[in-house]
Amino acid sequence: MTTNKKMRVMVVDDEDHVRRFITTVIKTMNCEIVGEAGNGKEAISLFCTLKPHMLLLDINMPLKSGKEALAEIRIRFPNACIIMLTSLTDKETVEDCIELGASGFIRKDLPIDEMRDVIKKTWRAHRESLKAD
Amino acid sequence: MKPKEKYNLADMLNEIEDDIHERKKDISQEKNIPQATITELMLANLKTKKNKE
Repeated sequence: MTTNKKMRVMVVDDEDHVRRFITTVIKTMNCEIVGEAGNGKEAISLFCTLKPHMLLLDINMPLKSGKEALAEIRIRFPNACIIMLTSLTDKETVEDCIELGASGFIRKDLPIDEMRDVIKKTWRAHRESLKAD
Repeated sequence: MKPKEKYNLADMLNEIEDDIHERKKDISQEKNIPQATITELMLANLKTKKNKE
């Protein structure tokens, strides 16, 4: 996010207004929205085609849930940066997403500044986790 | 002779009600984990991942 090259981000949520909101927030961070999807199935196929730097993925969606999409994408792209987007912050959901390999987790009701902050922190930590010692 | 009552029923019921109340409180907290806690968990997980590699 500090380099000249824009980070390529994909946003997946079955609700139009949520997608619009998230993409607007992402654009204010000097990132490029390269793709959007409305369900887990579409998310997997679009991710394989676009290979974005970061994926923001809703959990409760039709056809395939965010958790299912996370698991499938993680198998094909072990180094993908995937941040779950949700209003469900129960212990089980959070633990499941960590287990399935999510890099981050964002509550949809988060104030915009905090949302940006979590995205930045997650991206930095994700990149750091991929660096060899 | 009538045996002495070992326990007080009213006290026992109060204890049960307290337990139920406490349990409800625990569950509601688990259903609404604050973002800061989740972020901490996620970042710690990414650090662990790096250390494992």
